[in-house]
Order: sequence, then C-alpha cells, then structure tokens
Amino acid sequence: MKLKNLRINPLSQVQKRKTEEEPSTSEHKTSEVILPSDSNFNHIKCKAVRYQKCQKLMKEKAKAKKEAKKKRIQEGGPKQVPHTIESLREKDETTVTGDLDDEENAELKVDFEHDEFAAYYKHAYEPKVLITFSDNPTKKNRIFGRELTRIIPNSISLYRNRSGVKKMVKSAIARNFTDIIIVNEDQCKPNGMLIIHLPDGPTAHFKLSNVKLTTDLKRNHKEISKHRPEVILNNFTTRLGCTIGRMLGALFHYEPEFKGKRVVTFHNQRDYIFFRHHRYQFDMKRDKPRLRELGPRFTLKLKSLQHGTFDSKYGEYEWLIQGKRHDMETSRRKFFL
Amino acid sequence: MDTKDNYNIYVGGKSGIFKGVRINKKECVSQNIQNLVSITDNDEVTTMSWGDDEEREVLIGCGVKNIRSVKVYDTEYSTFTCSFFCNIGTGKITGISRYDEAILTAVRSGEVKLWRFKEEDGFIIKAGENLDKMRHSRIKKEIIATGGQEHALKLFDIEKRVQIFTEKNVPHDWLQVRVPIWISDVDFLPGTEEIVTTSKYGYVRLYDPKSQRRPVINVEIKEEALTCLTVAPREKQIIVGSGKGRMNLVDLRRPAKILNTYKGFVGGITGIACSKNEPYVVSVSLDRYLRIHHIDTKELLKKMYLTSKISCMLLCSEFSLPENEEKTQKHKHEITEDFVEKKEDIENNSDSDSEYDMLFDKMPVITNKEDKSIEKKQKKAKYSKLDTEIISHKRVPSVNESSKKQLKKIKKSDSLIEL
Repeated sequence: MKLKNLRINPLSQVQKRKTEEEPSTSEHKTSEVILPSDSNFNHIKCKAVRYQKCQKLMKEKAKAKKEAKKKRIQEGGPKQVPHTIESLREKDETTVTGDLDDEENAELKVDFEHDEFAAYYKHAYEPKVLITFSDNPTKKNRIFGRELTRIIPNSISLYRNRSGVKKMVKSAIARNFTDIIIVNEDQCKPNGMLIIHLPDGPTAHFKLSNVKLTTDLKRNHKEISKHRPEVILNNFTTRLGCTIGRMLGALFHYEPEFKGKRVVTFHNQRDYIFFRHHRYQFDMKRDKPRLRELGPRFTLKLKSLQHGTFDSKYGEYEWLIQGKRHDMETSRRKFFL
Repeated sequence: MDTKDNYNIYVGGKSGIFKGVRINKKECVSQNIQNLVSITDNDEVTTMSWGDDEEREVLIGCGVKNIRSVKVYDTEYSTFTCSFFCNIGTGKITGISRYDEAILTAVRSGEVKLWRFKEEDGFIIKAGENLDKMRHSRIKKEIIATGGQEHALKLFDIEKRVQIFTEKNVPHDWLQVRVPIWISDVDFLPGTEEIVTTSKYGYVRLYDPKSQRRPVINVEIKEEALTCLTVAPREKQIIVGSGKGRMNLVDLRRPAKILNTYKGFVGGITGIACSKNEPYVVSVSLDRYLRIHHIDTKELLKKMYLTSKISCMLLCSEFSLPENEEKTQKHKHEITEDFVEKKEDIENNSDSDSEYDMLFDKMPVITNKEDKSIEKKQKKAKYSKLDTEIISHKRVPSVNESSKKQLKKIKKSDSLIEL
C-alpha cells in the first residue's frame, strides 16, 4: 500500500488524507472496530463469493417483502396505490371536473348542447353506420369489417369500389347514413381507422393496432347475439377526450337491449383507447359479474381530429399531432384524452 | 380604449358564445357576455368586426344555415343594442362592417347588402358565388373587397355600386393547367391601396390595383391551407395562420419571404390580430386556446383556455401586456440598431399629430447647407417629380447619415399627406 502511495504522490499531505479515508476500508487506527457491512460486498475480491453473497442477500430481501405484504393483507390494511405514469399524469387545464350541471361547467353544457352530436344525445335520430375499407381489402380486413357490423347495430359493410372519401361522404349523406368508418390496412393488417360523423363532421383519424379477430381469441361469432349492446366509455377526461368519447358513443344506438347482456367497452389509458366486447352474467355468490370476452379486440390511438367532414388538405383541424410538434410532447406523463 | 367593461379581446365561438377577455397586470379573465341560457343552434358566431374607428361597437354575424342574424354589441354600455335577421341569400355571413351609419353584410351566396331602416334605401350588390370573405377598406370608406372559392378578388365601390377591380389569375402552371383560386382572407395594407390575400391553396398574394391586375407578389407556403391573416404593425409585413395550426410572419417586400414561425398550436388558427403599438400577436384557434406571441422573439407569452371552439376574435388596437414590459425592454436592448431605426420609422408612420410635431421640431438641428438642400428637394418635388434623380445626385455627397434618415421621413410624411 505504502509503496503504491509513494509512487503516486510522495507528498506527505496526500498521504495524510489517505490515512483519513482509510477507516472506510475497515483498517486499524480508529477507535472503534468497523465490521464489514453485510449489504455491501464490493470489498470482496473473489467474484464467485461476492456473487453468492449478493444473491443470498437479494433472496432474503424478497422474502421479507413478501412476508410484509402477506401480513398487511391479513391485517386488512389499506391497499397501496401503485405509482404509474397514469396516476402521476400531468394536470391538464381542459380536464372536465364535476357534474355537467355545475355552474363552472355551464359553458361546457352549452357546448355539448350545440355541437354536432347534440341531436344524437337528444335521441333525435338512430345512427346508421357505413363500414368500408381501403381498396382491395384483404381477408383479415374484410372479416374485421364484418365483425364491426356485428358489434355496431344498424351498420353495413360495403366495398369501396375505388371511390374517394369526399365522394363517399356525399353519397352517404344522401342515403341518410350518420357515420362512416373506413378501415385502412397495410401489409395485410388493419392499421388505421377513420371515423366521419355526418353530415357536418367532425372527422377523427385513429391509428389501429393489435387487432384480434374473434377466431384469434378462439371464440365463435355465433356466440354474439343480435341484441343492441351497452356501451361503456371509460376515462375520457379532457375536453378533447369528451369529444372523442361522444363521437364513439354516437356510433351505437342510444337504447341498449339489456336482455342480450352484451357490453362494448372503450377504455382510455395513456391516450390508447382499448376496445373490448364482452357478455356478462350477474353472479349472486360473487360480488363481481362474470365476463366472457367475445371479440374482436383492438386498440385505437388518436392521430387527428378535424372540424367538418373529411378534407385532409384544406380542412381545419381541431387537434393534430403531426410534423414538428415536439413542444407538445413535453413529458411522457402528458396525455391528451 | 376606455370602455366600460374594459375587455381587451372579444371572441366568438362555434357554439354561439360571445366572450370578453381581459388581460392586464393582475389577471386574465374571460367572461361570457352572451347569456349562456339564451344560446340557440343558430347562434354560431361566424364573423365579427369593429363598428367604428373608436372601437366602441362590435358587429357580430351569427348563424350558419337557416336563420342568420346580426347583432350589435356596445362596449361602453356593455349591452346588445340591436339585432336583426339577415334573410338574404344562403350560407353564413362572411363579412360585416358599418358604412354610412348602416350595416353592410355579405353572405356566402354572394349578396352584399346595406341594411337601412327603410328597405328601399338599402341596396344589394351581387358579388358572385362562394364568397368567403368581405373586407372593408380602412381608408376609402366606399371600397370593399371580396374573395372566395373560385371567386376572384374583386373590389367594389359601394357608393356607385360598381365593380372597380377584378384580379386576373396568375399564368397557367408548367403543365398548362389553370391555377385554382380559393381566397380565404382579404385585407388592405394600411396607408396604401394594396390588397393582400391568403388562399386555402397556400398562397399569399399582394395586389396593387393601381399598377396591374395580376398579383404583384406571390408567395407560397406549401401544404398549408391558410385561413386568416392580419397586418403586422410594420411596413408590409403580415401574419398568416393555417388550418393545421401554423402561424408565420410574411414579409411582402420584394422578394417576399416567409419569416418567423410561431409555435404552440394544436389546432387550426381561426383568428389573428396584432397590437398597434406593441410587438404582440394574439391568435385564437380551434383547440380552444387564445395565445399571445411576441412578434420578434417568437416566444409564447400567454396561453389561455377559453372552453369553447373559437371562430373569430377582435382585439383592441391599443392592447399591451403590462406585466411583460420588463421582458420587452430587455429585448429592446438586445435588438440591433437597424431594427430600432425601422421601429422609429413605423412610429412616425402612424398618423398622430404629436409625432409629426416631434419630427418638425427636430428639423432645425440640421446645419444650414443641408437645410437648403432639403428645401430645394421639397420645392422640386412639388414642381416636378421627374427631377428626383438629379436631386439625389446632388444630395449624396453633402448629406450625412442622419439627415438622410430625416429626408426619408419627410418623404414618407409627404406621401402620407398626399394620400
């Protein structure tokens, strides 16, 4: 040791400092004897031993944690809320809080009463939905469209026949459709969904991913009854989220047939909208109802919301994350829906 | 502006709300002026403008499809003083202004009507289909400009009720195909007769009716559908906004250039306005926010959530941000002298008498020689405009930098007086 120190720096001052630091390596000269700590094995030079000890310690720690948790559950202590990005989400000033009839939400209520979906929520019309695809849809895409028609009541799926979206909008308005859904595909996989509310918009463009058809979930489409489903729109909190929620809700008939016990869920989590389709059954013995997933399932992510019907070139966007909008992506805890 | 309700900004929404926004040292408040309960489906505000030069009156055009109406809001007494139905033509009201004590409206189907108390006193001008914007000239009160989708820019003299100018479309493109027209906003450049238009096809064009029918300047912002414009408080600069939420400063001096991009937008911009004295630009967009940017630093100074989709906005021209004064002062130090000079020029351009006096007070400081040369110049300019070249030759060796500047100013003031 000494020789080494000398070689590095022969000055006595430095040596002194070295000696001061010495106790950390559990040497003599201190009044108390410091034992090597049982949690830090860095001083052990044999790699095998060091590794062994480390493993042992970690196992012990895990065991203790498990026991503590067990104990907590037995005592009936409060369940801890995990810290997720969702729970630590950045506050958004557009978040809708409280009831719609509150005084602070008066303006919002007016907005809701006069927006494009007001007529639907006043039960003025029954939605009629046209589902179509990109040109030359592959088998998977066609099946997906057909499954959508099973979920959305009063909907038909048609081939597009190479017509433009703007043309389709015109002819669909003439035929009293209230919404158009266009499923796009890439590499034989559905990858985009465009929902156009008629006659005055808005138009929402979603990224579509993780499409699992009924057969992929090992279910049979015969399980799906013809009753109108209930719709659950979950966790759409901001003003933009409200609009999207209203838009998705307006695809379905406003009066579900509870006899069918079908439920369709749009669950928003971290700006991803998860779609699930279940049949439920109330069980008196358990608190929870029993669920059986029917399929399909897919995930949506909002790309843009446009005011008015489809006009991607000359239209006016309400919300658009495109191009150099990096200032919008301030942090990973910022969500828009 | 000492209005009774002290709002700096008035905004109108797609849902029919009409709001006043007050931004000052202590607070930023937005309040609904229109009663929320009374809003109907036919109240969507489509256009707004000041009724008079003192900015005491707000004219509001409402409605989209069937029932369209015009409301007049008095900012001094903070009440709606008058409202009537605009039952002419079809489509939304695209322009509104006050002419000769009566209200002039333009609707999308192309009818421009002056509403008098007696039906027969008013008149209708048929401007043509698909009118997207009608704007009144600020200097010549009898001139209006119209433009729209496949509706070329037209100027009308509403006193004589004749069309005085139509644009000529730009030459065909390299495939010999006609270039389409879709004017989304029109405005007159202050102090001149030049007109600037923005197009949904992404063009900004400057017209000079005196010289030619084709645009004098044509700038293109690719892939952006421009929706609105405003004139910046400088010479020949405008700010344009697009449907995708892009806002740019455009310099229309030859060769025209696209300058600053202002950031922070999420939705399409529906209204822009500039403060007359301070370098601020206020904009509203479909994402329900009102934003205030600094024109030069491009910094986002303020952002305000207004709950509803905003379709148009009016700004008191003397708007300023008091709390940001320190910042701007700091900024002023930073900017180059060049810019300061420009600014002075602009200040002198604004037509207030005190500033002219200041200018004339400065004049005796110049030495005798230069004084004479200036006098000469003035005389000659009066007698013949052709001799300017000779004068400039004479002037160049004798006059130093500062006097040059003042000469320029005099030139400008002269031109203003002529106008």
